[in-house]
Amino acid sequence: MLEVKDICVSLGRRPVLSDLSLRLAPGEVVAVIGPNGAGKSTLLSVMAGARQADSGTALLDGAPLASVASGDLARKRAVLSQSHALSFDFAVRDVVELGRAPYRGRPEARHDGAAIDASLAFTGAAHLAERRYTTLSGGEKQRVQFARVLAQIWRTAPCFCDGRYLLLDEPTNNLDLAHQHGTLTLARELASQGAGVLAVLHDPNLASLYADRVVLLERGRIQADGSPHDVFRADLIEAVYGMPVSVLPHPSRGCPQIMPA
Amino acid sequence: MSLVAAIQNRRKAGGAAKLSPRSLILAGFALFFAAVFFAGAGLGALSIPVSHQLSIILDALGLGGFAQVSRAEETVLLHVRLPRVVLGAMAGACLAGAGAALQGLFRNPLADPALIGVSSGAALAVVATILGGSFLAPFLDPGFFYYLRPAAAFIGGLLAVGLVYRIAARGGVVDVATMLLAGVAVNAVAGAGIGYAVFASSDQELRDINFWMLGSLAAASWQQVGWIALFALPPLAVLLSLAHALNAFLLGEREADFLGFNADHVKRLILFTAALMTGVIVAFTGVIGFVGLVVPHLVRLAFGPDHRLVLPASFLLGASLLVGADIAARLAVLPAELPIGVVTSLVGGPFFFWLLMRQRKEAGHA
Repeated sequence: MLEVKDICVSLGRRPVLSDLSLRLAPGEVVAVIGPNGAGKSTLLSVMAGARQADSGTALLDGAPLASVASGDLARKRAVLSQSHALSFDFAVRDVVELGRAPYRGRPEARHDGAAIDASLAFTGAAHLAERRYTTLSGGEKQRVQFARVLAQIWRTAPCFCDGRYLLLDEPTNNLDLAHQHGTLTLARELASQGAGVLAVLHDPNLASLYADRVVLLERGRIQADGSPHDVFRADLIEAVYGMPVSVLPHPSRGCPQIMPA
Repeated sequence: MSLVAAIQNRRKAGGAAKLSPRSLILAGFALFFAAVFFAGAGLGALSIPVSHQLSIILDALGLGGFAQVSRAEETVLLHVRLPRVVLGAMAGACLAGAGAALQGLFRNPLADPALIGVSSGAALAVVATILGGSFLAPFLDPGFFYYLRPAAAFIGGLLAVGLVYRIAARGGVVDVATMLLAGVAVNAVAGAGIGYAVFASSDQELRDINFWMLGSLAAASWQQVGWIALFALPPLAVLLSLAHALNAFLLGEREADFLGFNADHVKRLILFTAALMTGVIVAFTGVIGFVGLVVPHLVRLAFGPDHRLVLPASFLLGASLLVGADIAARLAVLPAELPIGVVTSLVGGPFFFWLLMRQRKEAGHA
């Protein structure tokens, strides 16, 4: 379980997160949505252990995040960031291999090759392995970075159920339609194998399609936390985003989709 | 040259990353270095064949020589050529190593100790000790200045690189234009300081200062070699131990953190070692530009950006190129000698232009 309890974070005098609590359990996909400046990325930073909350606690399997050794943390949770400014000319396979850095000098390192191959295959990037990273398209780069973070928490056992967490910071930014859905389908599959996935998303409709739980954030507070059906109510969305909306069921999947009214 | 062939190979193969095992590539670089080393020790007004060199060195080590060598050959090799070549090799290795590490840290191939002001920061500090030294000389032991110069150079370099990094890196993201501009600013300030020093100095001081601005290995001695071995070589080992962290750094500071490296710690260590190496080298050889820019770049171009190879290969190639540049500096305008900084800048300047154009082109495509 990766969780934060009653955390507060301020930037200068401006509160970014106020008394916020959230749990991410193995096997679930949780989407965090909300207007710009709601504190989504800050929340992800705190849960990743990259930023300390001013007050409150962040726990990984019951242990305070700040007390978990950085190597142990790196083997249990991986973070896919928004931008990948890798301007050096690595081969794709070498980029994915960077994800295995936390295993250097450990017995698990003998699985490095297998983990890299499996991650490349899982993300559909195996055919790119010998390409140079800088020559890839945006969508291909994203897939390779996904493979890298996957290799970081990859395990040889058949599932990720002993507490592996993947945090995705707006993973669908700058991707075309197919790549957006491809990325989240991967996240969904990982969760079905036991990983806990937290994704910060801009598009509520994507959240509705792929998340077990949706957390609606507004000005640093959770306005709603529940299944897509619970959260995507017209009155709630209108209040948070400040625009009139209609909520319709997805024609084939039945989950709620939001359109401007 | 094998490097050129390797570059062409990589181009043809569409840049498949691994040409051959690292150790093989490094052995090639080591061989190249050995060749340049003996050339540097052998060429000059009095040329000394390699067999004579080996014999003299063995004899000096107390292992007994095997060839008939003249007294002149022995004196020139042991007291003039060898200290100079060893000094040049260490300076080249350190400058190239500092360049490779800074480029990894800034995540940009344009970072170079001289371009971003580390060298001139160090040089300004040294010049300050030269001027200040004249005032204090009556009161202090001359040996004191020997300690003072490298220390001052280190502090000057550290201040410069720390300042540039602070200005150019915001929230872990390095802005390259800002980095280069900050380097320009640091260079300008240091240039003004050195200019004032030139204006205010006596003839003897002026000669000293001129030497630092252009760079030279002409004053090489075993004592300097010892100093550099003591202070500038250990950081090379530190850098090698950071190869993995530097690879992760190329993904970004936050990403390095997420991979379990302590990014702040790594960053400080790199700034510190780069400033120490550059500072100590500048204290003894003056400002020798572009080695830190050209060398790591050539290595990356040929063999990819993996620091496990880039770092040791840069040490070897940097040592080779600087010794080679010194050969050119000694032989180009016989019987006089060019400052080595002139030679490296002559080669490095156009190379920097080419790099800038290439970066522009790539940015245009993105």
